[in-house]
Amino acid sequence: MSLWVVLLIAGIGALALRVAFPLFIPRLSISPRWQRQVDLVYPAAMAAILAGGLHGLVASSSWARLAVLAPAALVTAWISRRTGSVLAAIGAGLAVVLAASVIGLG
Amino acid sequence: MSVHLEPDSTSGVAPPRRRASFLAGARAMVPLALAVTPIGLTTGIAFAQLPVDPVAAWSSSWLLYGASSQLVAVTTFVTDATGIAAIVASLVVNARLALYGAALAPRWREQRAGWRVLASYLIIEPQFIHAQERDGRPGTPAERAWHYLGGGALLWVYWQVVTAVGIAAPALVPHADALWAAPLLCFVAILAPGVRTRSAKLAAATAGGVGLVATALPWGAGILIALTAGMLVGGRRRTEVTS
Repeated sequence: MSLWVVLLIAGIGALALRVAFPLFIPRLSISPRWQRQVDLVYPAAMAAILAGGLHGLVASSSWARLAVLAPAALVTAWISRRTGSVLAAIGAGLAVVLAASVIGLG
Repeated sequence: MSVHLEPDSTSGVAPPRRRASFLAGARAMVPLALAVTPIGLTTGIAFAQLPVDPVAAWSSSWLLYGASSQLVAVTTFVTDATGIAAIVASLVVNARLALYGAALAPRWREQRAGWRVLASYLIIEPQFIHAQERDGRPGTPAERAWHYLGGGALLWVYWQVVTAVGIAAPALVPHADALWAAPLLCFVAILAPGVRTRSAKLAAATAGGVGLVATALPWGAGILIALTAGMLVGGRRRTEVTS
């Protein structure tokens, strides 16, 4: 199977997953309990994807990078919560990483 | 003779208001689009390093439209040329999109089927955040709909461009290694404002902890398991608080 065919099938599957509820069950009345559960999709999904990236660093024993990433992530999270600006938060986090690399860490 | 147009909430708004809502949605998406720049570039750079047709790999940007599923599909295809594992892995990673769709579906009940298909195709994390943010402010369903499309259109176009730049012009990012932390910090920056309640913190902590262990599972199943665990544990906390 060529990559084109794989991506086409995967793309159709992705679209089916995306439209499943909005198109076919738009009038599904969601109970408050289920709605509360759905509200947790976003933080749980973000954390799960983030953990996947961290797993890569752990698996490759990149301890120095993990040591740099920890303060950078704290700074990023703090600025994101304080300012609401994702861009400023990433910029500050990368500045921490850059500073660490300049002094020979990471 | 009169022509009956099927009523829907997007037609219930005057054209100038539509344009204003569309443009406001696009403007609101700019920070989120810029925030995914490192991910887009690194996705493209990763594709450029793989032994695959770069045009086909780039096409995943509009066929799959999501960094994690694009990376999973293309990299899994490299290790398993039958393609079956790549398709399954991509679907598993994308399963969370169905949950986003479930969360957004009640707000789109009054829209036409075509609109719902287009809006669903645009569902991805930044778009979901964009929609949630708009829902927290006053406005009509029509204004929200045009706002959503404005943000979605901008992000979609930007994603096609930024992944193409990553693939076609690695010389523009000569020290791409310096961006190694950017994708992770991007997720941190997006996640942080969304975990203000105890149940959200518990859901994120559980999903993160399970994800660290389960990521090694084949076909990207770890993400789905971690996501489910986070929702169940966080939801349980909410139920306990409520009861």
